[in-house]
Amino acid sequence: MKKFLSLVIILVFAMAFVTGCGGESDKAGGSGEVEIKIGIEEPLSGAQAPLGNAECNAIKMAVEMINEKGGVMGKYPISYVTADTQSDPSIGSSEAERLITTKGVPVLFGSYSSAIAASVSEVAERNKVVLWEMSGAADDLLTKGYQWSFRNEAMASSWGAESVNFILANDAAIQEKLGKSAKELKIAIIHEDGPYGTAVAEGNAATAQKNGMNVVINEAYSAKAVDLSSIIMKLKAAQPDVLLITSYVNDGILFNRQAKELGFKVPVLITHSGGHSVQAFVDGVGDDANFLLTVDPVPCNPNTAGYSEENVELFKEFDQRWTEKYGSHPYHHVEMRQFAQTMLFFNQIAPAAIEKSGAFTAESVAEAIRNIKVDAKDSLMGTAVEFSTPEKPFVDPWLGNSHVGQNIKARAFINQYFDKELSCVWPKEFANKEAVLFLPASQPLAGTN
Amino acid sequence: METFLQIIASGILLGGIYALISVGLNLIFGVIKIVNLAHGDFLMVGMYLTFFLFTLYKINPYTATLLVFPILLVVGLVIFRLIIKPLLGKSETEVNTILASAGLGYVLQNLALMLWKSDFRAIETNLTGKSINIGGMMLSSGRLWAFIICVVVALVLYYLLMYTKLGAQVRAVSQDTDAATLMGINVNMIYSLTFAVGIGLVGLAGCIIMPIFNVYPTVGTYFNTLAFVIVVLGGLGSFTGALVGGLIIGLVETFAGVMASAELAQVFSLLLFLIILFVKPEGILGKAARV
Repeated sequence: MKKFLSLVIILVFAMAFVTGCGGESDKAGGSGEVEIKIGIEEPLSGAQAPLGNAECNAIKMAVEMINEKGGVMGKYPISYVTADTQSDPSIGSSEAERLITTKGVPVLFGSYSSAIAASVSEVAERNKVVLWEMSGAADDLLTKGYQWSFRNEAMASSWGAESVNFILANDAAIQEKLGKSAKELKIAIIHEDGPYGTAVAEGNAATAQKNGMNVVINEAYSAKAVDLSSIIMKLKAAQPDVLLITSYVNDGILFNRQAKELGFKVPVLITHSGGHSVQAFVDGVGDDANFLLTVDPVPCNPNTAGYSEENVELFKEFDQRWTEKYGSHPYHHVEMRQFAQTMLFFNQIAPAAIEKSGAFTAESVAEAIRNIKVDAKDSLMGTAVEFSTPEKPFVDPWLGNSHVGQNIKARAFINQYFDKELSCVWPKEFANKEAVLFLPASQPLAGTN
Repeated sequence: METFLQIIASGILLGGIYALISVGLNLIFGVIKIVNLAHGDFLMVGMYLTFFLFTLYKINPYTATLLVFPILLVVGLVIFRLIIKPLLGKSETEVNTILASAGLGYVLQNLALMLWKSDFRAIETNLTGKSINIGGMMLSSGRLWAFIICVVVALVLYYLLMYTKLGAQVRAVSQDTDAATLMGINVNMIYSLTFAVGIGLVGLAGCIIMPIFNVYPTVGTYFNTLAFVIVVLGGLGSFTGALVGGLIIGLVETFAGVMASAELAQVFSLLLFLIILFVKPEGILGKAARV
């Protein structure tokens, strides 16, 4: 019996390890002398696995599409090795070490979470390997002066600044509805207490205070909390005009439910990506998702007038392939994001590196990233691309921190749920729908306390 | 004043949920004297069962208790027979059962991960997001039900343990195994029954909290720590202690959350836990109230 049991347990563990997105692509059968190999580290198991796997699959599909056309510059096929960070920063760092030392990858793609990105970036820095960060948004990834980490998307604090700027831009509507100017509004900020939520909230608070707005509550909570009633009671007592919230999925759903139960009302509610921009949130709260505004690093279902025809076609092709393979459309804020940044990397950065030095090495890639300049219309991200360098760091206007390796042209966008789907509503040139600033009566949280 | 009453109400309702989750753990510890580290993972199993019964067969979570409780009861029996029983009465029983149950917890988590992925799954019942307004106090319907059910479960258990022959046997075994054996009590049967009921109860808790929380493979980890804090605080093995411990933690967390900050709420409850450990290591209800 004991032997049988141990066998069952071993089998179960073995099966658990072979599931997920893991694996290694076929060795590149490259026609030339340039070998292009990257490491993809994503949380393929653990709490962050749903999005980690989605991101990993999107990167792999982008690579597949490029390889079908011969690879980078049509002649150098890409190979990759994936690693599962198990939603754990310490495993993220040991896996990064493994990819670098035993697999010899010069570039790492990842990392989904800011906490994992932070630990991976240290390993990348020590080993002088490029980290091409595609979703870890917390500011502190790039404020340490590291020279080998790069982020193409807008940093988290700028998302926080964006939501406040959006409110200020709607001054006339606010005046009309609430009888006071945007600057006189009472702002409440609540956020999960990790690096991501904290960075967004800092952007919120700094921009609000800079504009003389009244921040009545600025409070953190643990994303693992099973009860948010205390924070909701405080919100009820403070009676804010605007609630700015940054959360992950679990706490996002919990907040929505408990706020309803405790009868919390607020005229304007803006969320910040993370847990609010994912399908699991919509599944959890149903119709209550409608009309929630969320700040994201990408415009969802945007007006594509500003994109080149070629890029619009690329998106269409990706959408079609993804839908065929996985049975549902890819999300702009999850899969499309990763697809766009993978394409940017292999269509614009890798060729520049190879042309300049004749090789795909960490040095040549880092050099290419620092020198790259891409127009907005040629970037799948919707914004132009230009990175800050150690010599010319980017100093953000809201917190005054200096960032090295940040795409200084990146920006945050405001999307809104209509019929449980996100559509870009801000800025105007990307918007395909008119923003509904005040929660309509159909929303259970609409109104004032 | 209204806020004060609301804090008390929310704290008590939260405490009810905590107590409901901890009752089974305390029962198992009180009688068999083993620490079941997979407790939270059985809660997760109960939650998943409720989730699928609801989404696939439209069975209301409260009705689902009628199915989930017996299913987990049987699971408990099987686990006891296969994993716990072989370890009892041998050297290092305490350590071995802790290790075995921790291992079992990992197996359950990974099985769940493999079968259902790590997606957060939530259900929306007609109680989700609803509440009852009593004099300005908003009582969440889901949490109120959880509290009522917790009290009912506590009363039924209390009755069974104190006023039935089987209950007397359970108490006898919990107080002195050797003497109980000499009196002709089938200790093994009492052990397996207690373990099974303990697991069944945590499964039932899984049903009741499903309309409130999301389920994912590692959801039990958080509740596990919490359940241990509660039973140690209330008095390990003291069955009414779980109820008292749960209510205290619920109230402390809610008060601290409002008075200090939500981030510090747990710090306060753990601080209280430490103080109790220093001052009264056997827990608030300690030995005196032990069943």
